[in-house]
Amino acid sequence: MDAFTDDGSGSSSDDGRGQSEGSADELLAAVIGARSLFLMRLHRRNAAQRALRRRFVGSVAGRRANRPRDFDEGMRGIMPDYFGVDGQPPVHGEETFERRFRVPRSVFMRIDDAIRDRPFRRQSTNATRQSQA
Amino acid sequence: MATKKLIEFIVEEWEPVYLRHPNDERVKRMLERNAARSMPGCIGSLDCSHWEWAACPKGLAGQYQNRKKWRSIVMEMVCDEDLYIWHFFIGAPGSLNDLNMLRISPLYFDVVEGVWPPKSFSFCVNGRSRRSLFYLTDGVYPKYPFFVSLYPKPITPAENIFNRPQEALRKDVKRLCGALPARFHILLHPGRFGSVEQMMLAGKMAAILHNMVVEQRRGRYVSHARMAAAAAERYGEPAAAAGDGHAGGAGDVD
Repeated sequence: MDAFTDDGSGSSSDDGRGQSEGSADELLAAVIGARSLFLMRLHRRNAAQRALRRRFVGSVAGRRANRPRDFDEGMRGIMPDYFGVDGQPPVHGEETFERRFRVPRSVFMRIDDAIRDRPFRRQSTNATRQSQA
Repeated sequence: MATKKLIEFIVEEWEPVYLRHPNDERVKRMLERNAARSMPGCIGSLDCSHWEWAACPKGLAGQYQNRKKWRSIVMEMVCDEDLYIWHFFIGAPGSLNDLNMLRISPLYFDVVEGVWPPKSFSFCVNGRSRRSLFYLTDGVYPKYPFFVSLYPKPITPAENIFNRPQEALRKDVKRLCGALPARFHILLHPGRFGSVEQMMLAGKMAAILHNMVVEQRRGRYVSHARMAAAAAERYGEPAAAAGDGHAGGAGDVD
């Protein structure tokens, strides 16, 4: 008896609340749903923007494409200017070298020799299969 | 990323070589040089300078704010005449002054433990032989036996005579404070590293590279030839004069 009355009272009270505030609940749910949908979209958009703003993101689809400028030109310029290629003496002298690289050539080459086998010295390839500057 | 790795590599590879106490031969040469410059027993001058930290987190702002209201970390340096850095301690918050800095410096610990300065050298001041080598400092540093600072208010001729070379030789470390950021501009502009550790690494790297350059150049500095000539010309006389002033007030250097 007790259990039955309890159930009955419980169900009846549930029903009563459902019937009396049904429209309000639905409205609330709809509002909450719309709001959450809006928040979710906002969140997604923010996340996308954050991903775009991330600093060390590298070459990623959806970002601005590179202009077809001559990437290798820099390297082609630097090597003969400061280090000399094919047995040619470099264009700039020791003084200019030190002014631009902040250390004399001997110190620079010494560090270069020391890091020659290190993984971080290797030139990497980016997503467009070009060598990274 | 590669730059960070390079900095780490340079510091790991060369810190034990380029940032350490001078060996006996170097100490001997430094003593000879400084005796010729009328300051016998001096093994360098000591000073602190600040490096601004642009990326200092807000939570650390109070700690790292220095007396000029910008956020910085402190570098403590000892250098000799050629601006070779014999001691480089970086990474303390900018609110520390020279004295706090000294209290946490590895140099100070070495002195307290008796590891440094070496006791095997003797020099002659005012006709007496002394063994305690010292650094030149400015007035704030406490009157420890291994520090020699100025007479704050020189009155007697002896004090004046002593103050003059002291000031002149302490210009070395002041020159370093200017020359190091001038060569490596990373120390000139506010550091943008996210952590103190990165700042420390970068600072040490600059010091190491600077030492490499100095080591390369050392023999060719103009001052060497000039000072050698000057010392040969009037050897002995300025050392005696400085000795007078030194024994007069700075006291027990023994």
